[in-house]
Amino acid sequence: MPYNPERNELSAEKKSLVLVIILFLDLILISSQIILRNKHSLLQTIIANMITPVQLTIQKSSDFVSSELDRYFFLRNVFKKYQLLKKKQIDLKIENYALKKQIRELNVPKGVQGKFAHFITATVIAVDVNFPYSSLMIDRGLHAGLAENDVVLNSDAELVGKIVAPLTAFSASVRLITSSIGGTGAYIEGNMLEGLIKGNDGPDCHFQYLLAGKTVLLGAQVITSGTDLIYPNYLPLGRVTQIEQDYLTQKILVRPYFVDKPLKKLVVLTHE
Amino acid sequence: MNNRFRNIFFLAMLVGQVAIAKYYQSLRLNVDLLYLVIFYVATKSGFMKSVISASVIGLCSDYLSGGIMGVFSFSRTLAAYLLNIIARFLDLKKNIFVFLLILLSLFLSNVVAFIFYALIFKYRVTTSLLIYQPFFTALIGTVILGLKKVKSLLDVS
Repeated sequence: MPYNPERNELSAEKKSLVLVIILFLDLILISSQIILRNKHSLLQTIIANMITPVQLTIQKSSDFVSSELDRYFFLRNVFKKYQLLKKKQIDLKIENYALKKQIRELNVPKGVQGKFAHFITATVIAVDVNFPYSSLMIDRGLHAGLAENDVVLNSDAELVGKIVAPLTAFSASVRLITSSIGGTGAYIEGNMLEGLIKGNDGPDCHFQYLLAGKTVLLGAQVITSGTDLIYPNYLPLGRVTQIEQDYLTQKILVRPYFVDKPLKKLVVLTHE
Repeated sequence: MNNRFRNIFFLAMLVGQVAIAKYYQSLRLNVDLLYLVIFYVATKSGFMKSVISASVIGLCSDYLSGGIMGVFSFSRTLAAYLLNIIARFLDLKKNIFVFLLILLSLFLSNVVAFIFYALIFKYRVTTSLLIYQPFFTALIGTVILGLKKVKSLLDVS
Protein backbone atom coordinates (compact mmCIF):
# COMPACT_ATOMS: atom_id res chain seq x y z
CA MET A 1 0.00 0.00 0.00
CA PRO A 2 2.17 2.93 -1.17
CA TYR A 3 1.66 6.40 0.09
CA ASN A 4 -0.59 8.48 -2.12
CA PRO A 5 -0.26 12.14 -1.13
CA GLU A 6 -2.92 14.69 -1.83
CA ARG A 7 -2.33 17.33 -4.42
CA ASN A 8 -2.87 20.31 -2.12
CA GLU A 9 -0.79 19.41 0.87
CA LEU A 10 -1.13 21.74 3.89
CA SER A 11 1.86 23.45 5.43
CA ALA A 12 3.33 22.03 8.62
CA GLU A 13 2.05 24.98 10.68
CA LYS A 14 -1.50 24.54 9.43
CA LYS A 15 -1.35 20.83 10.09
CA SER A 16 -0.16 21.47 13.60
CA LEU A 17 -2.88 24.03 14.10
CA VAL A 18 -5.60 21.66 12.89
CA LEU A 19 -4.27 18.86 15.06
CA VAL A 20 -4.06 21.11 18.09
CA ILE A 21 -7.60 22.41 17.53
CA ILE A 22 -9.03 18.89 17.24
CA LEU A 23 -7.13 17.68 20.30
CA PHE A 24 -8.14 20.79 22.21
CA LEU A 25 -11.81 20.20 21.39
CA ASP A 26 -11.44 16.62 22.58
CA LEU A 27 -9.85 17.80 25.81
CA ILE A 28 -12.71 20.26 26.35
CA LEU A 29 -15.15 17.41 25.83
CA ILE A 30 -13.26 15.25 28.32
CA SER A 31 -12.92 18.04 30.89
CA SER A 32 -16.67 18.57 30.80
CA GLN A 33 -17.01 15.05 32.22
CA ILE A 34 -14.36 15.29 34.94
CA ILE A 35 -16.26 16.08 38.15
CA LEU A 36 -14.24 17.81 40.84
CA ARG A 37 -14.78 17.78 44.60
CA ASN A 38 -16.94 20.88 44.42
CA LYS A 39 -19.37 18.81 42.27
CA HIS A 40 -18.70 20.96 39.26
CA SER A 41 -17.02 19.73 36.14
CA LEU A 42 -13.46 20.72 35.35
CA LEU A 43 -14.69 22.66 32.33
CA GLN A 44 -17.15 24.63 34.45
CA THR A 45 -14.44 25.39 36.99
CA ILE A 46 -12.00 26.50 34.30
CA ILE A 47 -14.61 28.72 32.67
CA ALA A 48 -15.61 30.10 36.05
CA ASN A 49 -11.98 30.83 36.90
CA MET A 50 -11.55 32.55 33.58
CA ILE A 51 -14.76 34.52 33.76
CA THR A 52 -14.72 35.44 37.46
CA PRO A 53 -11.90 38.04 37.22
CA VAL A 54 -13.59 39.59 34.19
CA GLN A 55 -16.93 39.53 35.97
CA LEU A 56 -15.37 41.05 39.08
CA THR A 57 -13.67 43.72 37.03
CA ILE A 58 -16.91 44.58 35.25
CA GLN A 59 -18.83 44.56 38.53
CA LYS A 60 -16.25 46.75 40.29
CA SER A 61 -16.16 49.09 37.33
CA SER A 62 -19.93 49.34 37.19
CA ASP A 63 -20.09 49.90 40.96
CA PHE A 64 -17.45 52.59 40.69
CA VAL A 65 -19.19 54.27 37.77
CA SER A 66 -22.61 54.11 39.46
CA SER A 67 -21.25 55.47 42.74
CA GLU A 68 -19.46 58.26 40.90
CA LEU A 69 -22.65 59.02 38.98
CA ASP A 70 -24.62 59.04 42.23
CA ARG A 71 -22.06 61.36 43.74
CA TYR A 72 -22.16 63.56 40.69
CA PHE A 73 -25.95 63.83 40.74
CA PHE A 74 -25.90 64.30 44.50
CA LEU A 75 -23.22 66.98 44.41
CA ARG A 76 -24.25 68.59 41.14
CA ASN A 77 -26.28 71.41 42.69
CA VAL A 78 -24.72 71.29 46.08
CA PHE A 79 -22.99 74.65 45.77
CA LYS A 80 -26.23 76.32 44.77
CA LYS A 81 -27.99 74.58 47.62
CA TYR A 82 -25.20 75.62 49.96
CA GLN A 83 -25.57 79.24 48.91
CA LEU A 84 -29.35 79.06 49.31
CA LEU A 85 -28.99 77.53 52.74
CA LYS A 86 -26.43 80.12 53.72
CA LYS A 87 -28.80 82.86 52.60
CA LYS A 88 -31.57 81.21 54.57
CA GLN A 89 -29.31 81.01 57.56
CA ILE A 90 -28.49 84.69 57.32
CA ASP A 91 -32.21 85.49 56.99
CA LEU A 92 -32.94 83.36 60.01
CA LYS A 93 -30.14 85.07 61.92
CA ILE A 94 -31.62 88.45 61.08
CA GLU A 95 -35.07 87.24 62.05
CA ASN A 96 -33.67 85.78 65.23
CA TYR A 97 -31.95 89.03 66.03
CA ALA A 98 -35.16 90.97 65.36
CA LEU A 99 -37.15 88.58 67.53
CA LYS A 100 -34.59 88.83 70.29
CA LYS A 101 -34.78 92.57 70.03
CA GLN A 102 -38.57 92.37 70.25
CA ILE A 103 -38.28 90.17 73.30
CA ARG A 104 -35.80 92.60 74.83
CA GLU A 105 -38.11 95.49 74.14
CA LEU A 106 -41.02 93.58 75.63
CA ASN A 107 -38.98 92.88 78.74
CA VAL A 108 -37.87 96.50 79.11
CA PRO A 109 -39.72 98.19 81.98
CA LYS A 110 -42.33 100.66 80.83
CA GLY A 111 -40.96 103.41 83.02
CA VAL A 112 -37.65 103.33 81.19
CA GLN A 113 -38.91 102.99 77.62
CA GLY A 114 -38.18 106.08 75.59
CA LYS A 115 -36.49 107.95 78.39
CA PHE A 116 -32.94 106.71 78.09
CA ALA A 117 -30.89 105.92 75.03
CA HIS A 118 -28.48 103.41 76.56
CA PHE A 119 -29.47 101.03 79.26
CA ILE A 120 -29.24 97.41 80.23
CA THR A 121 -31.77 95.38 82.12
CA ALA A 122 -30.48 93.25 84.96
CA THR A 123 -31.84 90.86 87.54
CA VAL A 124 -31.08 90.88 91.23
CA ILE A 125 -29.26 87.68 92.12
CA ALA A 126 -28.25 88.33 95.74
CA VAL A 127 -29.11 90.63 98.63
CA ASP A 128 -26.94 91.18 101.69
CA VAL A 129 -28.94 89.50 104.44
CA ASN A 130 -27.33 91.53 107.21
CA PHE A 131 -27.63 94.86 105.44
CA PRO A 132 -30.52 94.51 102.98
CA TYR A 133 -30.66 98.30 102.49
CA SER A 134 -26.96 98.64 101.84
CA SER A 135 -26.10 96.70 98.70
CA LEU A 136 -27.14 93.89 96.38
CA MET A 137 -25.77 91.91 93.41
CA ILE A 138 -27.04 91.86 89.82
CA ASP A 139 -26.41 89.35 87.00
CA ARG A 140 -24.67 91.75 84.65
CA GLY A 141 -21.05 92.83 84.78
CA LEU A 142 -18.11 93.93 82.71
CA HIS A 143 -19.15 91.63 79.87
CA ALA A 144 -22.38 93.59 79.45
CA GLY A 145 -20.44 96.85 79.46
CA LEU A 146 -21.09 97.94 83.03
CA ALA A 147 -18.67 100.23 84.83
CA GLU A 148 -18.39 101.78 88.26
CA ASN A 149 -20.81 104.61 89.08
CA ASP A 150 -23.36 103.51 86.47
CA VAL A 151 -26.79 104.56 87.70
CA VAL A 152 -29.24 101.83 88.73
CA LEU A 153 -33.01 102.36 88.54
CA ASN A 154 -35.98 100.17 89.25
CA SER A 155 -38.52 99.21 86.62
CA ASP A 156 -40.43 102.48 87.17
CA ALA A 157 -37.26 104.50 86.48
CA GLU A 158 -36.88 105.48 90.13
CA LEU A 159 -33.42 105.78 91.62
CA VAL A 160 -32.07 102.68 93.34
CA GLY A 161 -28.32 103.21 93.57
CA LYS A 162 -25.11 102.93 91.61
CA ILE A 163 -22.64 100.28 90.48
CA VAL A 164 -19.61 99.91 92.75
CA ALA A 165 -16.69 97.53 92.96
CA PRO A 166 -16.28 94.61 92.92
CA LEU A 167 -17.28 94.09 89.29
CA THR A 168 -16.82 90.77 87.62
CA ALA A 169 -17.52 89.69 84.07
CA PHE A 170 -21.02 88.53 84.84
CA SER A 171 -21.96 90.22 88.10
CA ALA A 172 -21.80 93.60 89.75
CA SER A 173 -22.49 95.17 93.14
CA VAL A 174 -25.08 97.90 93.53
CA ARG A 175 -24.78 100.33 96.39
CA LEU A 176 -28.29 101.44 97.30
CA ILE A 177 -29.10 105.04 98.08
CA THR A 178 -30.21 103.83 101.52
CA SER A 179 -26.63 102.75 102.25
CA SER A 180 -24.82 104.63 105.00
CA ILE A 181 -21.88 105.19 102.65
CA GLY A 182 -22.06 108.13 100.24
CA GLY A 183 -24.91 110.48 99.48
CA THR A 184 -27.17 111.80 96.76
CA GLY A 185 -27.77 115.38 95.69
CA ALA A 186 -31.56 115.97 95.67
CA TYR A 187 -34.32 118.53 95.36
CA ILE A 188 -37.69 118.84 97.02
CA GLU A 189 -39.68 118.93 93.81
CA GLY A 190 -42.33 121.38 95.05
CA ASN A 191 -39.98 124.31 95.84
CA MET A 192 -36.67 123.05 94.43
CA LEU A 193 -34.93 123.14 97.81
CA GLU A 194 -31.62 121.35 97.45
CA GLY A 195 -29.90 119.16 99.97
CA LEU A 196 -28.05 115.88 100.44
CA ILE A 197 -29.82 112.58 100.87
CA LYS A 198 -27.96 110.13 103.08
CA GLY A 199 -28.91 106.61 104.07
CA ASN A 200 -28.33 104.75 107.31
CA ASP A 201 -28.65 101.12 106.12
CA GLY A 202 -32.36 101.32 106.89
CA PRO A 203 -35.43 101.81 104.76
CA ASP A 204 -35.42 105.62 105.14
CA CYS A 205 -32.97 108.35 104.22
CA HIS A 206 -32.24 111.73 105.76
CA PHE A 207 -32.45 114.94 103.85
CA GLN A 208 -29.51 116.95 105.21
CA TYR A 209 -28.53 120.59 105.08
CA LEU A 210 -32.03 122.00 104.65
CA LEU A 211 -32.48 125.23 106.56
CA ALA A 212 -35.16 125.43 109.21
CA GLY A 213 -36.99 128.40 107.64
CA LYS A 214 -37.81 126.68 104.40
CA THR A 215 -41.25 125.18 104.05
CA VAL A 216 -41.37 121.50 103.27
CA LEU A 217 -44.63 119.68 102.85
CA LEU A 218 -45.16 116.17 104.08
CA GLY A 219 -45.42 113.75 101.14
CA ALA A 220 -43.53 116.05 98.79
CA GLN A 221 -41.63 114.24 96.05
CA VAL A 222 -37.86 114.22 96.15
CA ILE A 223 -35.87 114.11 92.90
CA THR A 224 -32.18 114.03 92.04
CA SER A 225 -30.45 117.33 91.48
CA GLY A 226 -27.46 116.12 89.48
CA THR A 227 -25.09 118.29 91.48
CA ASP A 228 -23.24 115.21 92.83
CA LEU A 229 -22.06 114.54 89.27
CA ILE A 230 -23.03 110.89 89.64
CA TYR A 231 -26.77 110.74 89.17
CA PRO A 232 -28.56 112.60 86.40
CA ASN A 233 -31.05 115.19 87.55
CA TYR A 234 -34.83 114.87 87.79
CA LEU A 235 -34.84 111.16 88.61
CA PRO A 236 -37.63 110.43 91.10
CA LEU A 237 -36.14 109.29 94.36
CA GLY A 238 -38.80 109.14 97.08
CA ARG A 239 -41.26 111.03 99.27
CA VAL A 240 -40.95 113.08 102.44
CA THR A 241 -42.36 111.01 105.24
CA GLN A 242 -41.42 112.94 108.34
CA ILE A 243 -40.39 116.54 109.15
CA GLU A 244 -38.82 117.65 112.43
CA GLN A 245 -37.50 121.11 113.24
CA ASP A 246 -33.92 121.22 114.55
CA TYR A 247 -31.83 124.11 115.79
CA LEU A 248 -30.81 125.58 112.42
CA THR A 249 -31.94 122.96 109.98
CA GLN A 250 -34.87 120.67 109.45
CA LYS A 251 -34.68 116.95 110.06
CA ILE A 252 -36.53 115.39 107.10
CA LEU A 253 -37.00 111.70 106.51
CA VAL A 254 -37.36 110.54 102.95
CA ARG A 255 -38.73 107.13 101.98
CA PRO A 256 -37.21 105.99 98.66
CA TYR A 257 -39.73 104.63 96.21
CA PHE A 258 -37.83 101.35 95.53
CA VAL A 259 -38.10 100.35 99.22
CA ASP A 260 -41.80 99.67 98.94
CA LYS A 261 -41.58 97.92 95.56
CA PRO A 262 -40.27 94.49 94.69
CA LEU A 263 -36.63 94.62 93.59
CA LYS A 264 -36.36 92.00 90.92
CA LYS A 265 -35.75 93.71 87.60
CA LEU A 266 -33.40 96.67 87.52
CA VAL A 267 -32.23 99.02 84.80
CA VAL A 268 -28.62 100.14 84.56
CA LEU A 269 -27.91 103.34 82.69
CA THR A 270 -24.63 102.77 80.94
CA HIS A 271 -22.09 105.43 80.03
CA GLU A 272 -22.84 107.30 76.85
CA MET B 1 -16.33 0.13 -8.15
CA ASN B 2 -13.60 0.82 -5.68
CA ASN B 3 -15.57 3.59 -4.06
CA ARG B 4 -18.62 1.39 -3.71
CA PHE B 5 -16.55 -1.42 -2.23
CA ARG B 6 -14.85 1.05 0.10
CA ASN B 7 -18.18 2.29 1.35
CA ILE B 8 -19.36 -1.28 1.82
CA PHE B 9 -16.17 -1.97 3.70
CA PHE B 10 -16.67 1.04 6.00
CA LEU B 11 -20.30 0.11 6.60
CA ALA B 12 -19.35 -3.46 7.34
CA MET B 13 -16.77 -2.32 9.86
CA LEU B 14 -19.32 -0.06 11.53
CA VAL B 15 -21.97 -2.74 11.70
CA GLY B 16 -19.42 -5.21 12.93
CA GLN B 17 -18.26 -2.85 15.67
CA VAL B 18 -21.84 -2.15 16.74
CA ALA B 19 -22.46 -5.89 16.92
CA ILE B 20 -19.28 -6.45 18.91
CA ALA B 21 -20.20 -3.63 21.30
CA LYS B 22 -23.69 -5.06 21.75
CA TYR B 23 -22.62 -8.65 22.32
CA TYR B 24 -19.30 -7.95 23.95
CA GLN B 25 -20.29 -9.56 27.26
CA SER B 26 -21.26 -12.85 25.65
CA LEU B 27 -18.64 -12.91 22.87
CA ARG B 28 -15.76 -11.71 25.04
CA LEU B 29 -14.27 -10.42 21.80
CA ASN B 30 -12.41 -7.19 22.10
CA VAL B 31 -11.73 -5.91 18.61
CA ASP B 32 -11.84 -2.33 17.32
CA LEU B 33 -12.99 -2.66 13.73
CA LEU B 34 -13.48 1.08 13.41
CA TYR B 35 -9.76 1.48 13.93
CA LEU B 36 -9.25 -0.36 10.63
CA VAL B 37 -11.25 2.39 8.96
CA ILE B 38 -9.02 4.96 10.63
CA PHE B 39 -5.96 3.02 9.53
CA TYR B 40 -7.19 2.83 5.98
CA VAL B 41 -8.07 6.51 5.77
CA ALA B 42 -4.83 7.59 7.46
CA THR B 43 -2.67 5.58 5.09
CA LYS B 44 -4.64 6.39 1.97
CA SER B 45 -5.71 10.02 2.45
CA GLY B 46 -4.10 13.30 3.34
CA PHE B 47 -3.62 14.88 6.72
CA MET B 48 -6.95 16.70 7.09
CA LYS B 49 -9.14 13.78 6.09
CA SER B 50 -7.30 11.32 8.30
CA VAL B 51 -7.26 13.52 11.39
CA ILE B 52 -10.87 14.64 11.14
CA SER B 53 -12.19 11.19 10.31
CA ALA B 54 -10.15 9.74 13.18
CA SER B 55 -11.67 12.27 15.54
CA VAL B 56 -15.23 11.48 14.40
CA ILE B 57 -14.68 7.72 14.42
CA GLY B 58 -13.12 8.05 17.86
CA LEU B 59 -16.31 9.73 19.08
CA CYS B 60 -18.26 6.77 17.67
CA SER B 61 -15.94 4.44 19.56
CA ASP B 62 -16.54 6.44 22.74
CA TYR B 63 -20.27 6.15 22.24
CA LEU B 64 -20.17 2.44 21.54
CA SER B 65 -17.80 1.68 24.42
CA GLY B 66 -20.05 3.58 26.81
CA GLY B 67 -17.08 5.35 28.32
CA ILE B 68 -16.09 8.96 28.57
CA MET B 69 -16.81 10.94 25.45
CA GLY B 70 -13.68 12.34 23.89
CA VAL B 71 -11.08 9.93 25.22
CA PHE B 72 -10.93 7.63 22.18
CA SER B 73 -11.47 10.61 19.93
CA PHE B 74 -8.33 12.16 21.40
CA SER B 75 -6.24 8.99 21.24
CA ARG B 76 -7.43 7.98 17.76
CA THR B 77 -6.65 11.45 16.41
CA LEU B 78 -3.09 11.13 17.64
CA ALA B 79 -2.88 7.65 16.16
CA ALA B 80 -4.14 8.87 12.80
CA TYR B 81 -1.57 11.64 12.85
CA LEU B 82 1.12 9.10 13.61
CA LEU B 83 -0.08 6.70 10.90
CA ASN B 84 -0.32 9.49 8.38
CA ILE B 85 3.33 10.35 8.92
CA ILE B 86 4.76 6.85 9.25
CA ALA B 87 2.86 5.33 6.32
CA ARG B 88 4.94 7.36 3.92
CA PHE B 89 8.08 5.54 4.91
CA LEU B 90 6.76 1.96 5.04
CA ASP B 91 6.05 -0.56 2.36
CA LEU B 92 2.55 -1.57 3.25
CA LYS B 93 2.46 -4.19 0.50
CA LYS B 94 4.03 -6.53 3.03
CA ASN B 95 1.44 -7.82 5.46
CA ILE B 96 3.86 -7.96 8.34
CA PHE B 97 4.26 -4.19 8.21
CA VAL B 98 0.50 -3.78 8.11
CA PHE B 99 0.20 -6.02 11.12
CA LEU B 100 2.95 -4.28 13.05
CA LEU B 101 1.75 -0.81 12.19
CA ILE B 102 -1.80 -1.55 13.29
CA LEU B 103 -0.57 -3.28 16.42
CA LEU B 104 1.82 -0.55 17.51
CA SER B 105 -0.36 2.40 16.59
CA LEU B 106 -3.39 0.94 18.31
CA PHE B 107 -1.29 0.06 21.32
CA LEU B 108 0.00 3.61 21.61
CA SER B 109 -3.49 4.99 21.06
CA ASN B 110 -4.86 2.75 23.79
CA VAL B 111 -2.05 3.77 26.12
CA VAL B 112 -3.18 7.36 25.74
CA ALA B 113 -6.77 6.32 26.42
CA PHE B 114 -5.54 4.25 29.35
CA ILE B 115 -3.88 7.32 30.85
CA PHE B 116 -7.18 9.19 30.77
CA TYR B 117 -9.20 6.30 32.11
CA ALA B 118 -6.82 5.13 34.78
CA LEU B 119 -5.24 8.30 36.03
CA ILE B 120 -8.01 10.87 35.63
CA PHE B 121 -11.22 8.90 35.91
CA LYS B 122 -9.79 6.18 38.19
CA TYR B 123 -11.20 3.44 36.00
CA ARG B 124 -9.89 -0.05 36.37
CA VAL B 125 -8.51 -0.94 32.94
CA THR B 126 -7.74 -4.54 32.13
CA THR B 127 -4.97 -5.85 29.90
CA SER B 128 -7.49 -6.48 27.15
CA LEU B 129 -7.41 -2.84 26.23
CA LEU B 130 -3.64 -2.64 25.96
CA ILE B 131 -2.73 -6.08 24.64
CA TYR B 132 -5.62 -8.19 23.36
CA GLN B 133 -7.46 -5.50 21.48
CA PRO B 134 -4.41 -4.27 19.49
CA PHE B 135 -3.38 -7.83 18.75
CA PHE B 136 -6.75 -9.08 17.54
CA THR B 137 -7.45 -5.90 15.67
CA ALA B 138 -4.07 -6.08 13.94
CA LEU B 139 -4.69 -9.73 13.08
CA ILE B 140 -8.13 -9.09 11.63
CA GLY B 141 -6.87 -5.95 9.88
CA THR B 142 -4.01 -7.85 8.28
CA VAL B 143 -6.36 -10.56 7.14
CA ILE B 144 -8.86 -8.15 5.67
CA LEU B 145 -6.46 -5.64 4.15
CA GLY B 146 -3.90 -8.28 3.14
CA LEU B 147 -6.17 -10.21 0.86
CA LYS B 148 -5.27 -9.70 -2.79
CA LYS B 149 -8.84 -9.31 -3.80
CA VAL B 150 -9.50 -6.76 -1.13
CA LYS B 151 -6.31 -4.94 -1.99
CA SER B 152 -7.33 -4.66 -5.58
CA LEU B 153 -10.86 -3.60 -4.76
CA LEU B 154 -9.83 -1.12 -2.18
CA ASP B 155 -7.04 0.12 -4.41
CA VAL B 156 -4.55 0.03 -1.66
CA SER B 157 -1.63 -1.46 -3.58
